[in-house]
Amino acid sequence: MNDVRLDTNFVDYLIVASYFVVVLGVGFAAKRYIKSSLDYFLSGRSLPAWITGLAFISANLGATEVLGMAANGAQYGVATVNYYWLGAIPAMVFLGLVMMPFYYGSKVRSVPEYLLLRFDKQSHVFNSVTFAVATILIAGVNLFALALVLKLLLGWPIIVGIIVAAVVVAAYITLGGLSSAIYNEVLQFFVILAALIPITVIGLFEVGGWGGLQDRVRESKLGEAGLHALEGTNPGDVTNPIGATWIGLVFGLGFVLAFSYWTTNFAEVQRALSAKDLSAAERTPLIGAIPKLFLPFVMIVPGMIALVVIPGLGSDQPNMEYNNAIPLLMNEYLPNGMLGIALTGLMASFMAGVAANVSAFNTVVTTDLVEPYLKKGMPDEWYIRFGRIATIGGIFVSIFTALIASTYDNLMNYLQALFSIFNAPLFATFIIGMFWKRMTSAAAIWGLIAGTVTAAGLFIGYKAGWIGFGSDLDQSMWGAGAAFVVDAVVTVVVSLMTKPKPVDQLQGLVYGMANVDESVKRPPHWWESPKLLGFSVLAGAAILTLVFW
Amino acid sequence: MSDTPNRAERAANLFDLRRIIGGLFVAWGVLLIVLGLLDVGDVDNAMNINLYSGIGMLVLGLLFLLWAFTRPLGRELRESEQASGSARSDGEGTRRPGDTGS
Repeated sequence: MNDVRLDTNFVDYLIVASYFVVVLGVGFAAKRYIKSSLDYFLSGRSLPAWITGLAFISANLGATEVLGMAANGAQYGVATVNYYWLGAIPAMVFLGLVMMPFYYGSKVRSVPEYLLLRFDKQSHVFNSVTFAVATILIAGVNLFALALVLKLLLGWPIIVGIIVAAVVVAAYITLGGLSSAIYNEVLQFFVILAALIPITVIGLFEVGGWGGLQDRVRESKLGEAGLHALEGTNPGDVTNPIGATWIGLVFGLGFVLAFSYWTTNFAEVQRALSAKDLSAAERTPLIGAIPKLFLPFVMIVPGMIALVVIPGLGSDQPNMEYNNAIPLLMNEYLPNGMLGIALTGLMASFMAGVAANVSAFNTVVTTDLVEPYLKKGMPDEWYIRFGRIATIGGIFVSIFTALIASTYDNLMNYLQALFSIFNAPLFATFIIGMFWKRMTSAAAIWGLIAGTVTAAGLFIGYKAGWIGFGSDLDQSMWGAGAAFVVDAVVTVVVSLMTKPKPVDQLQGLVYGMANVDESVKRPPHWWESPKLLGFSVLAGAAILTLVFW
Repeated sequence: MSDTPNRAERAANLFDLRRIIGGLFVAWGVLLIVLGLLDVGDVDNAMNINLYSGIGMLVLGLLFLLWAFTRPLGRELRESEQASGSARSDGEGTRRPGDTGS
């Protein structure tokens, strides 16, 4: 069936509508009922640690992730698990166990602010600007993905969908505000699972279980290679569908891309920074890593099912892009009712994705750029008004960045390319800055510029056809790796030529000088040990990788 | 310690995320079960997805509601505030909903 137009009826719309009524209703009610900002964040502060961990993983489990990982599952098969067990878990454990003491201990409120304290204004400004650009590009990805769903749902042309979605999101941010976003994030986690689990179960049932799916994948264009995580990745003999060597996978994806995303991404780190004490902050990404271990089973497996049950997926035929794997499966398997749940899950998380990025954009532009540097000392109302204008402006620009995203037929690859440009150099600067007291402020800014230019240059060269890579993903892995190495080399060289900050200004910011957390109230239970949790999750990832080798 | 919740507690309960998740999933679960039993929906599957998903969502929703009502957020907060008032520097949230005893 080539028609992806979903057979929605009033029941599905009823479910979608009920969700937005609840979320917006909570926003409205919260505005009237809640007086202080303490009240406002009440539910967040009092929720148990495992919910904080869920919020951490929810921030990553956007609909782009859902559509993109299913697309990768259809395009690369089992090898996509490398995004999880190799490309996320170790980085999340590293963030929790190694980096959190400096983030949390230095009491910074944002990732760019750490650069300001550790180095100087220049790298703060540079990072704030690149961060603003990155958020707008990512908001565009979400906007485009939302338009894609609207196209499937209502048959609207993409451009109309993008503009309508932009207007709806603008209304949603101004009406619902932050409170809707908080509720949305945790809610969406459960709604998306409620959509993905039935699709996976029925799909596996129809293709004859996991064994049946394996047989069918062997017969598909992926072949046997589509059933292995790391087989066929030896240099010179690459048969893995990703088209990358294990060096590229381990260093590019597992180390640079993953570590830079998880350890310097504002939206992620922010969750952990709001924890109540250091132990809880350390445990936030570690608890989030537990669902991350098992998500491949409901995200990648549906992609593989789509590959074998939907003829022509990934071909040039209209509507057969890999990105459409999940919507196509929804159409194939879900009856009215469940269809509405699945649509709600997708729409809610796109909205949250756009909203989160646009509000991060307006926060950084207003508080990290305009307030300290461009327009100092204006009254509070002026900044609030400027923030509103920045929000509208950000959404407007997102419409155009959505059009850039629409040229990619696998959104996850586009996102990885963006991370390779914006996060990979930042990670090199962070990691060296945290572990090497000698690193200077001049090194930070020059390293960041050199790394960003390198990754952007490789990306443009690949897009223009000057430089060849195995696949889009292969390009972003090498782009990230090159950006990391160039940033690191420039950082070391410039550091040795310039004068470092006096050591007494680095208290709480560098390795060996972490601030001691004095807020510990009681001896922790043995199961609250971040180390135990971290190493258990790592072991789980290693075992799963071996099973699917 | 009276059991009449004050304004802040009522607000906490009203916006307790567990109640919102629970309520929404119970409503959706019931709706899906009804759809599944009536066998509406035009997709021909070997399995009644609406029915089974509906049951799953109903159970999840009820678990959230059970959790939220056995350990109301408002009371938890008041208790932890009182505990921090008497025991020095106990801070907020040593006992959070979901912590089992101890």
